Amino acid sequence: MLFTEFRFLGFFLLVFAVHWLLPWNRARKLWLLAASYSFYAAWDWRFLSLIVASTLIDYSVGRGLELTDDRTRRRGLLVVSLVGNLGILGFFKYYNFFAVSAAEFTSWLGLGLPLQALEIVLPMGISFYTFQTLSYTVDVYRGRLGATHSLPDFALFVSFFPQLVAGPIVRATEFLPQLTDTRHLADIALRVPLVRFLMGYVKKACLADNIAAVVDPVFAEPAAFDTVSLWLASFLYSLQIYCDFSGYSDMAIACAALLGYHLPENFGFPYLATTVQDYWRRWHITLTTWFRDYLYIPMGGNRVGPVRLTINLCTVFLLCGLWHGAAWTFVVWGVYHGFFLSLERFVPMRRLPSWLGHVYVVLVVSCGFVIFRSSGLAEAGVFLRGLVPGGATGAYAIWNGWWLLLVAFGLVHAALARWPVENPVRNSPGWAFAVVYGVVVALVLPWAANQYEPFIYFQF
Amino acid sequence: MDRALPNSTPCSGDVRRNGLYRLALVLVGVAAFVAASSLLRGLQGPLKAPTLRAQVEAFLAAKDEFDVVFVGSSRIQRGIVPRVIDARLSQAAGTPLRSFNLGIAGMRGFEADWLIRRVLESEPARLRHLVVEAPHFQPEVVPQHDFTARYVDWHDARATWLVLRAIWRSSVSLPTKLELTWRNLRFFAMRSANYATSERFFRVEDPAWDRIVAGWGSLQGYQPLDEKTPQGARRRKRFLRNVEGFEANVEAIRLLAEAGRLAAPGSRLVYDQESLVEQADAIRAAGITPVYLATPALVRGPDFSTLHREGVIEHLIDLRDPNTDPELFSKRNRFDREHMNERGARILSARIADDLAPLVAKPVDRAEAADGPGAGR
Repeated sequence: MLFTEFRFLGFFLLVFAVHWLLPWNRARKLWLLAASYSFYAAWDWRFLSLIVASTLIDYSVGRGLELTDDRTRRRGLLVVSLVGNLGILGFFKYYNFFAVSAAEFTSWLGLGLPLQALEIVLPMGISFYTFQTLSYTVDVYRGRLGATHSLPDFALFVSFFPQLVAGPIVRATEFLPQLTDTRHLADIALRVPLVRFLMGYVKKACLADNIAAVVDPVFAEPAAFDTVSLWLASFLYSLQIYCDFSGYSDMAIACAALLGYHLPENFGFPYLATTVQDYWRRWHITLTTWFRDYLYIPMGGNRVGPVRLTINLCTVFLLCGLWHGAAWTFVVWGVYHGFFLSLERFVPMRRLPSWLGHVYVVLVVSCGFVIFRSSGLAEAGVFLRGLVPGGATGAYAIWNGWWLLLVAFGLVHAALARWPVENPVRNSPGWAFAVVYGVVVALVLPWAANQYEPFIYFQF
Repeated sequence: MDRALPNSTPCSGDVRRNGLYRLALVLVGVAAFVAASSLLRGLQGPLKAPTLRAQVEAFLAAKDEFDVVFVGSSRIQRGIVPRVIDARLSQAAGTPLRSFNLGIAGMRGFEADWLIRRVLESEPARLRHLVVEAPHFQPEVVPQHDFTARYVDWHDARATWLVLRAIWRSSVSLPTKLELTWRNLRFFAMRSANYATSERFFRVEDPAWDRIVAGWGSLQGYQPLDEKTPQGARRRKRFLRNVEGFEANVEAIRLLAEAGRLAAPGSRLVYDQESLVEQADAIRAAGITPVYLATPALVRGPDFSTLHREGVIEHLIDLRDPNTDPELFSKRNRFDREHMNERGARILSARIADDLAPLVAKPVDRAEAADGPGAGR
């Protein structure tokens, strides 16, 4: 069930109405838990067992950590959680990648390991909820968070439907305390999340899905297109993936807010960044902070020598790339970003004029997304070669009018960063807001793409 | 919206607003949405779906030239040759008559009903007989049409109401009723909201579209299946691979017809007879004679013979019996299992024209037809 589908509207209206009609906080939480499991089961009920397994492992580990001070036992419990969660993730997401890669490598060496790919379905959102539950266990292990005693609360934290399948990745320290307070509908400002949901819808259904129809054929056969079209397609894909993912995040945050819960921000106008480091502070914020807190800082953070720092950054971003998918393109994309982040430690890109910084970031990120989006490294190579003047082999062109969309998007992106719509939304009279909202929805719906495209980040 | 718009912190007015006030605002918002959507709909052009609207446009472009119009599925589209019909009917009537084939691939009962109402709204000056493929008014969503622009397009308020009424009157299970209700309401909502129809705002000159429309018009709507197209070649190949299966199927239908059991078991339970009566009344009210045509299909359908005997269907041309019309079921006259080839289409058209001739030969007074037998049943 996608947020842009009509049936999600029906589902959410039901959840919203029952949630606020229930007088007890405990009943509301159980209702949300049931709704979250139903939401996931609508995709494939069999994989609910994985969420339940992950929930039970980390709940039990958390309770176990609370009961003992013995370092060895505590470490053992942490290992149980890591093996359990990463084992499930590793099998479903990475088994085929490593098996096929190992088989090819050993075959190249002349050894030939008899490893075969299995027909494995990737459970939707597994990377998101695995990271979420892991953060809980690590925080309890580190003593930053007390173990929760309520299994339903913990289960709701793991499976809360607005962010279950594509984030934002929520920390237990942010979410569990919210479950103890009873909320009242009268205290909830509905207008801001309503506007936010609509903006997310526009990004996803009107921009990302329509751009997909232009970009997909280019990535399917980059050799057939000319240089200008390849550049245009790479910029359009950067726009598509931003609109797709940040649109989803907007809708997720808005749905949670309508139910009275706060989810962390996931984007901060990434294409206004002037360095790659700045970009990663603005793009998929909950993932980058997760890697920062649970991997980069434990590896030594910034307090290491330049060589170690470079290795650490490349390692973290290699894993970040692998988190996105089990393919060499994601590995290379991760290392590519790790390289630029390392470079910026030694070359002060911050001193560039801001307009040049924007250009630098957009170029680096768009070329990176070419690797990310391509079906293989060879196809990425063909695409990237085609970006060089004289390097393209094809003659097909895509409509140049799309450049105007990029310019318009850039202007709106910058305007929204400077003048948030929050104040006019809050301060307008109720009836005026209702009329304008109704009219804007009517104006938006005709521009939705004529088929539902799944969210790009669902596959991660 | 990104980080610049933090989510819910209560704003000053929200706390004191009560539930009724919020409900009133929701109603205001919905009213604004409905009004704006209706206005936008008025600004849009028609749907340009080649298999449907091109044929309708071709008909509308010359609507006042036709005396007889055929409406139905691809069995009509591929099986009725208007020129054959015209020759025979003109001879019978003693005056030149023209017909148009408004058969459309995949069209079922409720969509055909919607199309008939569009035809009647256009007030075709000479139209005297509307030959409708005996409609399967059964509540269903054809899988290949699910979520297509065409399917959404015919779900206006009236058509949706008719489908929902049929669903809830039928004896299908409750889960099926709920599922079908949801699907049809979704189509209605999408149509009402002009969902994904932005291209209709642009009324650009499109020579390719004009050529398609002209193509439909030149054959008066008839569109033979063509073995040279990839789709046609596939269909033909599939048919030739399983001719024995086809013949066995014909034999089964022949035996069923012999036993008087052509109606599918339980078909009366799911058939919405009231829609049929209303449709026939609407046609008559326009001064046009409705004629229902049961095409030579290889599937058991609704019990049209009983509906005819009971007077629900006044004029029925029933071609479902291989015993009386063996040529229509011969493999030589078929392109594939369901459709006639060009030779078969000529035979079918001649057969239908023979049945229509006595009706057409009798002059029809439009006012009399509107008040005539069966009107207002």
